[in-house]
Amino acid sequence: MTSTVLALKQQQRGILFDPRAKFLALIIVASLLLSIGNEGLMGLVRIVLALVPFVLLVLSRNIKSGVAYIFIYLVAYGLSVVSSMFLSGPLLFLALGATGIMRQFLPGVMMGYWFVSTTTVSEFMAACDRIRLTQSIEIPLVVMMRYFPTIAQDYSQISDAAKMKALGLSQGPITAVENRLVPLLASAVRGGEDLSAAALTRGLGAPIHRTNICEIGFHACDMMLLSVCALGAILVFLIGVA
Amino acid sequence: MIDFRNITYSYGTDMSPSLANVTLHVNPGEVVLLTGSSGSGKSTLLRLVNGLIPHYHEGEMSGTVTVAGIEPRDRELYELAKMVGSVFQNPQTQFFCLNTTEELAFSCENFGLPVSEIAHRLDTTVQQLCLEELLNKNPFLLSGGQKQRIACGSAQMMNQEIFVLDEPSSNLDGRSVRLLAEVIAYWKKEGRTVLVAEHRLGYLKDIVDRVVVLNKGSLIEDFAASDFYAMGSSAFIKRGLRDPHTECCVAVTDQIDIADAGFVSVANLQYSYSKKINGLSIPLAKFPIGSITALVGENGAGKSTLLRCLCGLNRKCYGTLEINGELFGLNKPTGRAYMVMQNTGNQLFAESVRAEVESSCSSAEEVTAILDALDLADLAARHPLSLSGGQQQRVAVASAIASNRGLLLLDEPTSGLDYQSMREVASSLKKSSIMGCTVIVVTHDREFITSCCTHYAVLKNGRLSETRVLDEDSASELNAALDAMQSSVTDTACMV
Repeated sequence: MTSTVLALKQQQRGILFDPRAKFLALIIVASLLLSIGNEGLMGLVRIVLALVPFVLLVLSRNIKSGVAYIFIYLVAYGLSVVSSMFLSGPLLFLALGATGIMRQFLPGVMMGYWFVSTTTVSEFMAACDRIRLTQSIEIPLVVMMRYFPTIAQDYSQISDAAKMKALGLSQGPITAVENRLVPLLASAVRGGEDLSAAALTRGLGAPIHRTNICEIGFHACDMMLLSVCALGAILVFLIGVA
Repeated sequence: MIDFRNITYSYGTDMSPSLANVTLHVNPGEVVLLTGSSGSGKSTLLRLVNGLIPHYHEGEMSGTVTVAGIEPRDRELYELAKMVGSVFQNPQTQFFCLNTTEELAFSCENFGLPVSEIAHRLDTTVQQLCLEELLNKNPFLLSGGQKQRIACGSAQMMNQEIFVLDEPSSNLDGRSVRLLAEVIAYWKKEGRTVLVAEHRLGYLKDIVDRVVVLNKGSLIEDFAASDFYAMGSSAFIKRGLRDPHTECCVAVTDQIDIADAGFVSVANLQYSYSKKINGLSIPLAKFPIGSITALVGENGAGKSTLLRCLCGLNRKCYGTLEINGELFGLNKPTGRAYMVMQNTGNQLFAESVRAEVESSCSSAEEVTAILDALDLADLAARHPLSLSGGQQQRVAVASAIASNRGLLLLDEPTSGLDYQSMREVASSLKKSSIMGCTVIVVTHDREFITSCCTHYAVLKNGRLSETRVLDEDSASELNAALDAMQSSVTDTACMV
């Protein structure tokens, strides 16, 4: 039977990778970035790795975020080079620390953003089923993924309220953080409860093998993605040995 | 079809029972409206049907519930999910997937139906409920009515015979409510059994067969729908219910008098979301000091955006706000406007009601006076987030008055509130106006407009009409404008 609805579902979202490949790439890129240094050849590998999330974001048609990311990354990189030329002592330490954190973590964070923003809940569940993850791990993970956008929305409302009330850092940083976190947690708890109730009334958690309308599977693009990651890993290993 | 026999139930933490000795029988194919003020036990009854009680919410129960011949407590929750479809109040927290098509398929996937069967059911549901244009979208970007329509669609994918809806219209404006009403009418035509818990009564008038009124956990009356809707306004108010008669028209009643004290004015306001969409463009708008202005307009007309602009929360908003002779730019927080947001829980930061109000005012006596005026004295020590929706609204209004900012903005303050709470918000606005606040309230709730607003303005395509006094003549014009907003049928073309 051909379904008009499901045919419609295959809309253009740029290149679609398999969620499993995406997750593997995320892990590889993030852990390589954390484990290698900045010197010599490793520094070069690092720059190439940092380009990976940029390319992926562009491929998934999220050009705006990709460009913003690469811009921030390059600025941090440039600043670290410039500051090591002109600064010394504690100032240099501070500058290298700040830019270093950016260079170390930003690419990993962007990989995470790419994963979450391009994977639908249903695709993610399909992937979890394929790798035979038990429901007791899968469901909390899915709820977490489902919750990111809601948290973002709540947070922007909360910070609007803080701005409107003119509550800035004047009350001290701890109060400022508390003011934002307590309502956020309260709303996440309430929302989470409602969400679980709604999902349970639609049969989530039934001891039945789930089916899925999302067709996932490894394609050429996944192979390419994973090869690039593997190549990076091997390169890092070889350079490390040498 | 559904049988409640001598049900008494209390939630784990509560002392007082949520339901006390309720007996109710619902026949197959009946559409029954459950109504009553907040805390009357409407939702609890629905949870007994879909099995969330006793499987999800813990509590003490006596009596028996039978749903289509089985007792929910003897079955697993997922078995009940095949028989009972549920629609909840807040679309934000009932969607599991962030794509409407996946959301529709979700329950079928959970039950392991083959993909070809799911595809078939998707096609059927999409056709029956006219969902084509809503497919493959981020559900958060749909209008409230569209969201609830998707929620109804995904509730019926297992071909359930029974549906329970828990205050499904709370977050909807007038037009969106019609989208919802159509689905319920469709289910009725198909012979399904439907239970709806609601404060809002008007939109169900021609659909429901019976109306059951609950009060503090007891079933007090069981009407045939025609008898119920034939009652006069006073009968509804006596029972603490929203009056379906005023739901349809604004009237002029006991408006407060406003001293002639000048205006709060907005000049040259310009804001655009993006290049594609026309934003707001308001050359001049004047709100009399001490007035309560109802700001009405269609979904997406920019009402909430206008409020944010007046607070100075939109950096790209240009223009000035003049208040008490002082001029403020609108591109940064003005410090002269206080907004009570739709989701009030997200703006209450302090650990007690008193501390929350104190955070915007240093004088202890003033705080006490404001708490007294808004009937919050008894709640002063409570944590704001432990309060009900109506109470939270009042706390936010109290902080707003305490902040002494002069301009109080509210965004749909009465959505989801019962009659009593709605009256409380209305009376707190009247008090704030007497204390010198100028109030602008975005609303489509005619009963609420009737109970407190003195002026109104219409926002259309980013342009704001002149602020008009609400009197006999203009009330009928406002009614006509609201009717026109409700009946524009762009979303509904294919169902009727």
